[in-house]
Amino acid sequence: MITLQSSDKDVFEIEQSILIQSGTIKNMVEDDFTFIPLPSVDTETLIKIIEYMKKHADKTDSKEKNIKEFDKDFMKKTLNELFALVFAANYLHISSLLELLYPSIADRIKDKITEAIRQIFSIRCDFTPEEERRIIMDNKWAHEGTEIEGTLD
Amino acid sequence: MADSSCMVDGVFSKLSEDLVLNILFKLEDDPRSWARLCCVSMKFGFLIHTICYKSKCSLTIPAVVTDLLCSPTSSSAAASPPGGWSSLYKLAVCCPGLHQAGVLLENSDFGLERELGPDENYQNRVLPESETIYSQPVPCGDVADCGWSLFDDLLFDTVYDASESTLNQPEVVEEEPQNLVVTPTRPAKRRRIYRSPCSHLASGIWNLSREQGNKLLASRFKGDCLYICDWPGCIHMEEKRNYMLFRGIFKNFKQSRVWRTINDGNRKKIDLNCAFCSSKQTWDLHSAFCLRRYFGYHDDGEPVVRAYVCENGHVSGAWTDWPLYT
Repeated sequence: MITLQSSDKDVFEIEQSILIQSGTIKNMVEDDFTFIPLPSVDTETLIKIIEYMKKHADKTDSKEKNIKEFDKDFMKKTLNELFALVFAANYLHISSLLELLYPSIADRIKDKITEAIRQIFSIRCDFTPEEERRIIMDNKWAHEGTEIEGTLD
Repeated sequence: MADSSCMVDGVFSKLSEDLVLNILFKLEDDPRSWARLCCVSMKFGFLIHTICYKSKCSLTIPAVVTDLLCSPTSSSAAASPPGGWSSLYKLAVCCPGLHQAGVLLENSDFGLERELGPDENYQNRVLPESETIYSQPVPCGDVADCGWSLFDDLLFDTVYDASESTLNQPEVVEEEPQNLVVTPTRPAKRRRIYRSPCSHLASGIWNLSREQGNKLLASRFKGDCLYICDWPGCIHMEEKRNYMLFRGIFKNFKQSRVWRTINDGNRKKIDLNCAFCSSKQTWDLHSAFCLRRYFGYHDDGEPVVRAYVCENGHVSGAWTDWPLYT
């Protein structure tokens, strides 16, 4: 059993066979670490990561459909939660989770209006009014003929 | 690059550029997605322009990219094509639209006003108010100073006027001066536009080829390398005829023979901005005799093919169907 500690100092004991899906943890286990602090991953995100790895640990044929359903539901989270998962999955080197997260996030932002994107990503508009006017004109073609949403999720 | 465009407390701000790019690359199939995201912030714009557009162009039009980046004047490759990666990307996927392809320019005089300048005698003459496109002819004998010019000959020789179908018109069409409507320019052509005349995502395949460019240019320019989108381009069905709008780019435009012809001939630019970069004016390749000679005109003065090129070598134009008679 391996012990993981989140940035909030909560600890979780998990079987090694499940955790080695994370390239980072696998390397540390090979170096005989049994207690692994993860200062970059908070408890809430770590719980989700463990849930994902537990489901994906047993990849027999009979479970394939089950896993696909799980993955679909697993992505039904807020965008902030998904960003936190991307950050953690990248740190932990869980490539299958990253490959699930990238298209899910992309899908959620592709039809959003500019202002909604800024709110979702917590980005301030840093164009001058003249620059903004020009870049909107240059890209006017991209705003036509599409249904663009103003929602934030 | 400093992360100045992101607020500190957003989770997104913790993501490195390569993670953001991994997300952005999942949006590569619809060109509008990246273009819209460019409007979000300088950082998004920077990532998309310098990495996403470059990568996509290098993947889909590698020969064009290689040609545009290699410069005969320096041993090292250029960092980006003329007008930048965003211009090349837009050129690959975007139709210039009727406006920037020059379709909406006045052509009933075969482009003479643009070539020769406005006819002062014509401007000074008052015209009757009329719903028809063309003005009525003025019999010289009845008007003290008709001020006829070469411009008028060329215009009226080539324009069909329904009133000419009856010979010996009994009276002058013009009324007394105080009843006339003074129009400084000829009445504008009426044209019904069925969709926006501006740039939009092109229909058809998003590819550029040199073979298409060869078909457009006159044979003495066969040494120039012009990449044009695949035939028929983006088809616009208008009231009078169909327009197959195309776009393209010259390799090393300022070293091309077309450029030397335009420059040596001191050709004037026209007030038609480029659809793909910030150039405010372009040159008309048709009237500079750079296009193949057998492309003529329709009977209403509209050229069968027209093309316009900017400082950066971006080309916008339109094919039409050949007239039924030759």
